[in-house]
Amino acid sequence: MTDIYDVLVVGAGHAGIHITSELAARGFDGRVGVIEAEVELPYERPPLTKGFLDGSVRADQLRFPGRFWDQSLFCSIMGEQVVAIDPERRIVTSSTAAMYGYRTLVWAAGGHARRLGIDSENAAGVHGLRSLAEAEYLKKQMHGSGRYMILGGGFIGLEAAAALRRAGVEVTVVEFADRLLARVTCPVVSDYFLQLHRREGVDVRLGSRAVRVETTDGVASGVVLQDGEVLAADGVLVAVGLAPNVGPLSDAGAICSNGVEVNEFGATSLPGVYAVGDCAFFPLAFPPFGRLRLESVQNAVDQAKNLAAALATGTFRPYRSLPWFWSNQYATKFKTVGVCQGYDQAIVRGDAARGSFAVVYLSGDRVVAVDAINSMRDYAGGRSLIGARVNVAAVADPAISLASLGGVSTSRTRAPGLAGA
Amino acid sequence: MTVATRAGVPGIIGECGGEMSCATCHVHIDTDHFPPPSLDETDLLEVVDERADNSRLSCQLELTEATGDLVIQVPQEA
Repeated sequence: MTDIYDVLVVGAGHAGIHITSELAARGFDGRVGVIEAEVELPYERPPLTKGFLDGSVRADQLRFPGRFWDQSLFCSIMGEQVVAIDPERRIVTSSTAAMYGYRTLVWAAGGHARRLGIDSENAAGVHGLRSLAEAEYLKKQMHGSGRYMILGGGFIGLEAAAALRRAGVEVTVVEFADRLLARVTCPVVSDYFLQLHRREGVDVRLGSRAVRVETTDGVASGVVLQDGEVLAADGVLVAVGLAPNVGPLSDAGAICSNGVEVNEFGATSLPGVYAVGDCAFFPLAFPPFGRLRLESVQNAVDQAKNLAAALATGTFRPYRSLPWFWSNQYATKFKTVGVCQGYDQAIVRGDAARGSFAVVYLSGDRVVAVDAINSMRDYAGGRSLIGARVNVAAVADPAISLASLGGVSTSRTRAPGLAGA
Repeated sequence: MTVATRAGVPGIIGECGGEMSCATCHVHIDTDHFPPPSLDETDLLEVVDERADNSRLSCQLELTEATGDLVIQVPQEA
């Protein structure tokens, strides 16, 4: 006889753990189960590339507090991965061949680090940076005499580069595109981060590609670039993005493209199967609209809470949280709100050379996103502008606060009497 | 903030882990025993619901022996 769960959650990352906690907070009294491939108790990931590496956050401080993991509220199945879904019988099969039944399946399996597919990429000393185990490994390698090769100039690679430099490690970043962070921001911001890392002593190679890992006695000792240059290294971090974990969903017939497609309520094309977090390709409620997949804690947590509220109450509401994201590198605090896509104009506020500025992304006179670099004021002001129409001429003037440009405000600030309305 | 999230106080989410990025740990405090908010904190407080003169981001409030007794209110969740 197969165990049947009213809600079966696949994955105990930020998305999965907020499904269970929100169900519990709302008094959901059905049977809830969580299947997680890792054996570690659930932990927070953002500090893995920040405070955990620099030593200001310890591993035990990363754990989600007990209320997120209260065994009286749900059943956890650790160290097992879902490998198949039978959508008609509503049964999943795990990597240990165990079978679990569900009434509602919530897929929160996130993703795995992409690989480059180059020779000797599986050698010892080559690793990614997604899990606590990988962060602990990297931390052990951080000492003043080492040389690290980071393949990929996105947020993970750059945050790791900053932490390694702070520990005195020599760092080279190899990025295939002609600028850093090319997928997520505009050239002005990319250039700011390029100058920042070069000032801190990072050897940044743009428009460059590793074609092979060099090994000595089976251990990585360097990489070979496409022009034949050989760069020696004591370790190689591959940080070239995330591939969504949706194989079993796709095999079961769920419509998948860039992740698994869900509607505004988080439902996949399979009955009773929902998806949240990094693997969900969802309709954005803000410009530029259309579907997208977001890899962020904010999105994972907010989608999970929205879906769990629906499962607990039976009332489904469209997901419409404002996307935001942050990254800390050296003393620089980067914050972005909205989605930096589909814009036709990027207006810089302030002076990038002075290290505190913002970029407002516009489609016509409508704000689609704001990047703020060491400028909390513009981040805070920008939050109220996403989707709003503004006087474009005033945007470039840093003396005029962004918060004042909104006109009819979409601001979250409401009169107390209207809270929750 | 850490005390509140560990204890499961509703309305204190601490989504960014205390990095002064998300404003999901907003509280009202009844004491001036904490150092005043930084400019960044003041700016970020502009985005919260129920902003008041005694609004703070609890991730910026470090409890010490000198803090003494205090009453912290969590604004009603939006």
